[in-house]
Amino acid sequence: MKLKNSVAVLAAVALLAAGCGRDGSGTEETTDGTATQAVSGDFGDLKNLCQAGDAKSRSAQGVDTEIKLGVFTDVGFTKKTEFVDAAEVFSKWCNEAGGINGRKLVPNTRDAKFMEVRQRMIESCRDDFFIVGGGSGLDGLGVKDRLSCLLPAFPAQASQMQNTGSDLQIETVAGGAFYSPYAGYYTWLLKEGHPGSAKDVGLISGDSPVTKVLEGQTKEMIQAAGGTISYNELYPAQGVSDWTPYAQAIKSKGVKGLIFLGDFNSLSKLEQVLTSIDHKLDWIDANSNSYGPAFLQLAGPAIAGQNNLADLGGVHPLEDAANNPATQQVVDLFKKYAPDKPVTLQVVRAFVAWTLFAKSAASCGDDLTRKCVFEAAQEETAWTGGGLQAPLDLSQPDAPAKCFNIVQATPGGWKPADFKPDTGAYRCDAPAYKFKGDYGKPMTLADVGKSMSDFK
Amino acid sequence: MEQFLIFGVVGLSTAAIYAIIGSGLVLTYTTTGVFNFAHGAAGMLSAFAYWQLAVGWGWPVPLALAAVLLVLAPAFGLLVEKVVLRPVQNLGEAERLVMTVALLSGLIAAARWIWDPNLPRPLTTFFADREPFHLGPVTITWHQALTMAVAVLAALVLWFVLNRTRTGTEMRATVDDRALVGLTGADPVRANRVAWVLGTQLAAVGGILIAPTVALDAAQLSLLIVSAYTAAIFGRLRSLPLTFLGAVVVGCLESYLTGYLPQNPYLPGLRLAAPALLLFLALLLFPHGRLRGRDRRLRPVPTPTMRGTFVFAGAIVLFAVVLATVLDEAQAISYGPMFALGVVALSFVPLAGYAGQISLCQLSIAGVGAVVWGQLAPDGQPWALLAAFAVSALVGALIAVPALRLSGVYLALATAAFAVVLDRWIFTLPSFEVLGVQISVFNQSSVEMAGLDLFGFRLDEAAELMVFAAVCLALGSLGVAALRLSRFGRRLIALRDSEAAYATLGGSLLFARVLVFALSAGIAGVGGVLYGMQLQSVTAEQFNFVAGLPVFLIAVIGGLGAVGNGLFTGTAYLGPVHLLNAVAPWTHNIVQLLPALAGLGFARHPEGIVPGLRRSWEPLGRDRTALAALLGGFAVLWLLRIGDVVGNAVLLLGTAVLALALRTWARSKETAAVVAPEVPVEWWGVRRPWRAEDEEVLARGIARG
Repeated sequence: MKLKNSVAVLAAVALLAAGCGRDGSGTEETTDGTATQAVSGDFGDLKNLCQAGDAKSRSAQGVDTEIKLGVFTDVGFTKKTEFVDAAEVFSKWCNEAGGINGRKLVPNTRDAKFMEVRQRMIESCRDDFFIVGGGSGLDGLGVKDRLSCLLPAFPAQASQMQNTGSDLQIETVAGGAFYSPYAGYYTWLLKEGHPGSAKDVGLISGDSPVTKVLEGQTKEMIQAAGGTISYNELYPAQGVSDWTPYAQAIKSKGVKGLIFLGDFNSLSKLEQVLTSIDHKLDWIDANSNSYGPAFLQLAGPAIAGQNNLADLGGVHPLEDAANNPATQQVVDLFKKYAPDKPVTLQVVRAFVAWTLFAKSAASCGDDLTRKCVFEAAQEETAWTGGGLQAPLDLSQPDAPAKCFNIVQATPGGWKPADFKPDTGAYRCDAPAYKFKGDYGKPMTLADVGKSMSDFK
Repeated sequence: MEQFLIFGVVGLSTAAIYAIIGSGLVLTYTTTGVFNFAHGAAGMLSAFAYWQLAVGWGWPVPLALAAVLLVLAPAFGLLVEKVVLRPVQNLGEAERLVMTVALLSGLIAAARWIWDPNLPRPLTTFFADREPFHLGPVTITWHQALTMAVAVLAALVLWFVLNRTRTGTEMRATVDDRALVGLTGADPVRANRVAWVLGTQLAAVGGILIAPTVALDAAQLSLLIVSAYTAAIFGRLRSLPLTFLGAVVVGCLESYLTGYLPQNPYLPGLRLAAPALLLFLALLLFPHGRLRGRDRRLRPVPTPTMRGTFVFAGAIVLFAVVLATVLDEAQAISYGPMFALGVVALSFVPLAGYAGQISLCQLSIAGVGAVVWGQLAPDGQPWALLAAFAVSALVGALIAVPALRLSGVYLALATAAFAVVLDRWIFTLPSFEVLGVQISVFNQSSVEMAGLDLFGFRLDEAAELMVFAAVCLALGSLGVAALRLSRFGRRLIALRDSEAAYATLGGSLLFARVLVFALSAGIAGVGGVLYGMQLQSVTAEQFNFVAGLPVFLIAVIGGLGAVGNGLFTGTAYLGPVHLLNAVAPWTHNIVQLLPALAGLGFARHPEGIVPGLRRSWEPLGRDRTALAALLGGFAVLWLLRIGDVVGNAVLLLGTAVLALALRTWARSKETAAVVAPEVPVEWWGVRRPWRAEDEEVLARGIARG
């Protein structure tokens, strides 16, 4: 269970029964094939990622003059359109630049609406060539069906344990299933950034069983990084009427560093109370979910009063797009193709997956098969998505994250924290920490009675 | 000691909010007899309206406050009183509860539609720019001080209105005897209106005060008020001073538990569940006033015939078989839970329909059944189905024993509290050991649910499970119909009609209630197992209190006394949603409002929809020619569908048109055939309408005599 997504799950569960979302398995409109070739097909440092060509053979399901791709999302439930936007922007741009050897990308939105992962997966199995650039909160529900139909995936995020690190899937987010993705972050916090806080770490998490795994992993990691959890508390995911008792308990227990595994809406309220009772912590791990303007607006004056940090896990910060051509290109493409939509961290992660697919698919030429794309992607040993994030070795399915980069919330916006980067914007000396507890296992082909030799 | 003081003051500031919200609840309940589940939602709506005016459109704060508190909130209160609650004023507790539950879900859906939940909506506390002041070791913000002051002010104003004004006297009199108030020339409807206006204003004050300290989120704001319920129950739903005391107890309890509860993996959930536990205890321990049952009109429970029920059960299975053959796998997964949730809904029939006991925790009990199955039957052993039934039934019995002295809205609240305790504490517990037996609940994020292993044949395809669930629903419907016709069924109905009379005639209340609770919990547990099998893996969220509300809502709309309610609820809960989403995805916002709209339309059919459906389709069932034509026509369509000549839309529409046409035909034939039976003369104008010529006939008859 990765933090960023399960927290979104947590925020979502409170609404679960309040309303069922919509069924949106419709096909995205794409620009038709008459697009001019004026658009450059380069993305970041990837030359000719998309280019014209005459590939058109029906080499696999969902492939002819078009390539049908499943994009998973919970948009019907969370109303967050980021994966849908990223798919639309990337495919429009790529198709205008000629597509993948002339084939057009056709993203099919698979809206799981939180609970309908299996239904969408079965539909995706029926129609799509590949799953790219999306993710849904309860993605573990769909792995069995995905593996049974041998549908490979390059998701933008993987959240549940059954899915994270499962077979036929390449994750472009750093950190394997059995390693802590935050080893570098927490080690820096407790040993370098704020060593004085190591004995007084607090942990607050939502009361959903979904976050149990995450809570266990975080405790383990904090202890491994030399910290002691002196305060550990739950809050009801359906809302807290008054955060003052929590703030008061944090103050009277002398908590100096706080990890908050929950929605940033609640965190902003807790911080306002903490600030009003004059308790300033050394640091608060706001987690990368809160990375964006919304948290800053909600927390208001508390941003100046508290030291909010988040680990972006090696993704170049958006505020600093001007210094990173690839990030700037995402921003520019959004301006052109989806001017009203925000560029978020998840959009960047989706782009990392999309570029991986585009490059791997292009290398297959006319004979585009799932196996060819998957194996081409496995050969990438330093994947950056054209420069969007720190390099990642995709040939190792379960490797610890090496690089991290920490941002800090300030009244003027998010800024890189003083974490002493050693490789460009990142710091790449994270220790490896392998979890000792049992948090479940990713699903394999063998679990559904298949093997790699079935994969074509 | 300093700690103790600090947490005490902190608790008082929380208590102030509970007191404001709780007193609004009490006010509307005492005057109108409606326990308003949508009270928090009214506060939520006010908070959003306030945000829109003060932040969204930049109005000055005093103006925005005045607009919300003096114009919008009263208008909303009046609207709710007129449109939602007056029509159900004379109906039973379950019906009145359902209206407010419908309102709750409707308001949440509407707010999420109007105000995009992903836009940040910061709302600063009042006097945020002033330095907080210090009271000894305690820091108090001006917002907290304001909240406490408003709570005290609200108490004083309420006391004055109720005890020192004519309107207040009228309101109190309405509580005691509506009819008598009417006779003395006062207007009970006016008293109701005043109560709704005041109640909504209190909710609005609470909403606006609480919104800056919690997120401005539709669901969160609407559902926060469990603690306020507890405060209201301390006041036994009628005493305002005791409600305030209750608020202080709950606020301080929450605060002290945060400060002092020892840290271990089993206890944090206990703290979250504390208000609900306290609610449960308060309900059990405090004496309750007589429920206002006088103006409630009991309707007869429909009597099914066994023959008709067999036809109905056959229809359920046929329906499932047809669905299994025409739906693809993804659709089968979407529509399959209809039958499983139908079984859960069927559990309301003996409990609420026959015995008149309102339970809001049936889906939570279904969750218990699912956990039992998940833990005991990793390979789908059939005996685990019995174990799930037994354990769920035991849980049901456990609720029934303490809840023996509760009924009506108190029972509804107690079961709601029980559901919340399960959600927040029991379902989130890590695995533990009792008497050497390892017990695991949902301790991991989800529990895997194996399909049933039926004599070596493993049911794991969505379509197979759907048919199996339908068979269970058919058997359950037969069993419930048999119960209705049995001696025990008649006893249950007697219990519903009058507990006192039932006990006087020698019936054992304890026995009957425990048995019916256990039976219905068992049915719900099996429903949970079937639901879980279809989902393959389940989490606690799927069975929480909030998820259970729409099922309850639709079951009441269907008509709690009708055996057909299981199928109706399952179908109506999932069918239209998936169908509309598939046909017209742009309707998704309206779809979310559907349950609420259906609930609000409910007042026109207080006996429920199912009995009406049964009446209108019975002629078709009795007419052999029409029935044969229907089955024949349907078989043709089905074969065409299986042969892929036509699609599902043609099958659905064709069957619907055919069935409606044949129904009209059968009904017209039946009406024509029926000769009006002779009505004895003394019943003219009563059993049949008074006719113009009757007067002359009577006059001649008397003259002759």
